[in-house]
Amino acid sequence: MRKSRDYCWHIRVDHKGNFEQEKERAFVAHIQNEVSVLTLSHSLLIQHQNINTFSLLASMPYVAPLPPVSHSNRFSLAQFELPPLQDPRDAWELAFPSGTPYGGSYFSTSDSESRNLIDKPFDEGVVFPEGGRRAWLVVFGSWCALFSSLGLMNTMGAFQAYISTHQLKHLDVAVVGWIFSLYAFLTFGAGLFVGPLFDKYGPKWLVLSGSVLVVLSMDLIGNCVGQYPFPGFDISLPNLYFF
Amino acid sequence: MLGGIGSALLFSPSIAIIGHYFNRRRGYATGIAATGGAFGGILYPLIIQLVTPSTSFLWSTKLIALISLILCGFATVFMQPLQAPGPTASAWPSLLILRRPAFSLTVLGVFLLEFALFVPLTYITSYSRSMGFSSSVSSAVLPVLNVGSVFGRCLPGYFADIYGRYNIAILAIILTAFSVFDIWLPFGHTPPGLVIFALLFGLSSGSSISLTPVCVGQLCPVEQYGRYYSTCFSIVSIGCLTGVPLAGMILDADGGIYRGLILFVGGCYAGGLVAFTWARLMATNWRLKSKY
Repeated sequence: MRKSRDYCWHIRVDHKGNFEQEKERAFVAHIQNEVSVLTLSHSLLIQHQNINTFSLLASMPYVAPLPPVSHSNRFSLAQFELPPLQDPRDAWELAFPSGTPYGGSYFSTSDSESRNLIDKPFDEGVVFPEGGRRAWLVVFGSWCALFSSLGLMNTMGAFQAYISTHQLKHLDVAVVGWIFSLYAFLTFGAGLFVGPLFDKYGPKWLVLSGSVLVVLSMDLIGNCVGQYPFPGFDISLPNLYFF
Repeated sequence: MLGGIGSALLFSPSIAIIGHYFNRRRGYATGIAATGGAFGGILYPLIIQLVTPSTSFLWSTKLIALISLILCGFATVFMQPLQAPGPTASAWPSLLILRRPAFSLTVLGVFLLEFALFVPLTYITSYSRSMGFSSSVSSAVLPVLNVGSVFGRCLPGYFADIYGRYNIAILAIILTAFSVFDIWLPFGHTPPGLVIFALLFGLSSGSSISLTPVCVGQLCPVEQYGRYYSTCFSIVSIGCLTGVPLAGMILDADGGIYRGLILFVGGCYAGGLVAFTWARLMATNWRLKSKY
């Protein structure tokens, strides 16, 4: 295998089969009769030696198993079942697994540079339905979830007005304010952990457990501050914090 | 706390999953989903107001719990992921993504917006009561604000997809600052002034929930949308935590006069405007007229 830093034609193909070309700097590796090119824009291009055209195998974050080399540039990206990758180094790893003579770290760029590559937005090759029954049902599902989470958050003013004039009359406005901003704080703050979990595992368990917690909290706040508190469940700050 | 964590588990995925299905029309779809929050903000206070006098506070919260149960059921069934996650995707948060200036400026902007947003949401009821409005009018103000916010969530999203997400977000912030400085401050004590403010504020501030995730989504690839978005909003949450009590302290210091509080809200929006404009210019290489 020969490794070189070279220029190549970068060909972008959208899902309608339209393509555009531009010249860009790339890492080029030659294996047997195939040439693999890892471009800076995260695209892995495969060229068959006998064919003069590059066909776009996949653009990051997608790397496909080798398709039959096409004689035409016009093909649809949607026809591949593509496992996505996040790091261009993974694309390299996939093309040249470590343990093989070509394996190991190929990137001559510094770590920070490759991190910049990761951060680069690159949604080309990702197919968005932009509509359709399934997509709008998801919007409806989100609507429902936001109804119960953000709707509750928007109601905090009403809760606060009620509770600060009934149960917690004796406390400062600022103290009661703290309790309710804790709710908003947790909603957004705990998201720090929820977001990456969503990216990795999808929404199913997150939404399910979230639903249970929201319903439970509404069920309990009635007991915390209602007119008939449970014995030993007196109206006090700790209970509200629990809510 | 239970409710807060539960909301977190519902909130981030429901925004991020729309990014799986929509790109070109993401602003619109996110806006429509976000109207859910506004409808909740209309219905729940009404339940508290109407059900509590005839039965008890306990039963109004039970009713809210029942509604949540039904809606969460729908959410669990319908929210199916589309884009596959990366095999290298980490389940742990990382603050390294903040090193991108356009992203961190956006975060700062959203921080200031939310810092201010929850102050009117929390105090508008007490404000109108202190201005001598009757109890029923005071509790109607919040639903009115949320009616404005229904339109404020989906309309900007629709236009944002056409004219650029950041452009429309900046426009909405200008409108919000206008409604605070030029309507709430001088005319808030009159009934029409209060209602117009509530509508206009709801309309213009709704975008800070529905449009900001789409703005953030423009800065990252789709399979990291959840991470970017939630990192942004977890930093913003510090603003949520401190904004309302800070406003409460301003209020206590002024002896119950709301002028200082209103100026504080307006100031935050002005700061948010600067941060957002800067982030947009940075992301577009200082090109003023581009759709972004």
